[in-house]
Amino acid sequence: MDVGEDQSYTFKEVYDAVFPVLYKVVYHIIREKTIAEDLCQEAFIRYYNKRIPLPSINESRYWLIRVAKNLAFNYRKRKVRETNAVDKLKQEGVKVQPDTQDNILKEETITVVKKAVDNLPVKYRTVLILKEYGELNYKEIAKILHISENNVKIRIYRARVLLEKKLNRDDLHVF
Amino acid sequence: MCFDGQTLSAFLDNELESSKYLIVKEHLQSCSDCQKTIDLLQSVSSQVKLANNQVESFTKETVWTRLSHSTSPGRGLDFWHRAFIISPTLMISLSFLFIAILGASLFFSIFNDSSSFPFSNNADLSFESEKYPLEIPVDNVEKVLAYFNIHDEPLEFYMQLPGPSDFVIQGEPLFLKKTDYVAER
Repeated sequence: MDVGEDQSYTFKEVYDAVFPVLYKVVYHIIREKTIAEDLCQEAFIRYYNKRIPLPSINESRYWLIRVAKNLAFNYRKRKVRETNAVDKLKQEGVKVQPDTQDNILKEETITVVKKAVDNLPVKYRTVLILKEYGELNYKEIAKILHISENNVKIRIYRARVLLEKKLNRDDLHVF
Repeated sequence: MCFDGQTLSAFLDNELESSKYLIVKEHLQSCSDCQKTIDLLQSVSSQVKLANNQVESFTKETVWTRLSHSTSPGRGLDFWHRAFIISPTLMISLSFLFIAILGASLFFSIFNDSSSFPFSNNADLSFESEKYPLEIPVDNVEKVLAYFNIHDEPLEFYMQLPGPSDFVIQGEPLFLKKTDYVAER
């Protein structure tokens, strides 16, 4: 399952290198594991069928993250029309059954943070997810989103400021 | 001189150039305001990361299994692409057949448009002109038109019909088309 005749890397190598970050990015946009798996699979199928060689695994990574991110936001846009995002968070919180006081506080904090992140404007939410969950640097984020590094720096700062305002500080516990 | 929030945020992400990074780092030791901003940004970042989840190995394997199935030869492709891969000869033959049928349909639609001639039984009809009293069976509109084109007939001519006339012909013979035979109701 080679990506292309001239490539020195295989499809499996690209998959192994990119899947973890791709899944994290998609999951934190969608918040549904099975849907995140489906969208990651769809992105890789598109990559496989693309048949246009990319010069490196890194370029493949940027391409895949860009496509998966768009798929995820499109899915979310459709989904939001059908269900209330807040209800989904509540349902997801019910699944986890914390057994200690610390775990209860931690889960509450996570729920509030997820809600705050979900309510960020898309352009700030995207950079934040790519930075904090995708663990990508400014240069990589700039390449994925086709914006300048300075713009990435500005968006990340504004996202953090907005998030800080959205979070209810009294209900949060720093671990 | 204090630094702006964007610079401090970039400092937190270790995205500053080494020289500027050192300057900011040194400044933070003596500036409580900037240190407070850094702490706030760090706190937000930590809380966001708290919601991070690790990718389970079985998730990766599950998706890879499904992906391998989808990207195996002949799978995951659109129908026509797959059909060409499976049987190129058959698909090429079908393509030629389709083109031939299309061409034949086009040919007959152009050269055999008497099908819409407004007579139920063309073989019983004939026409004659004053100058050339020839009788030509009107079994084909094209023959009539060709006759007038060749002999440069005057426009007026009469058609002998088995019954009462129920139509008129309008226009120059050279430019007559099937739509010019207008039924007179």
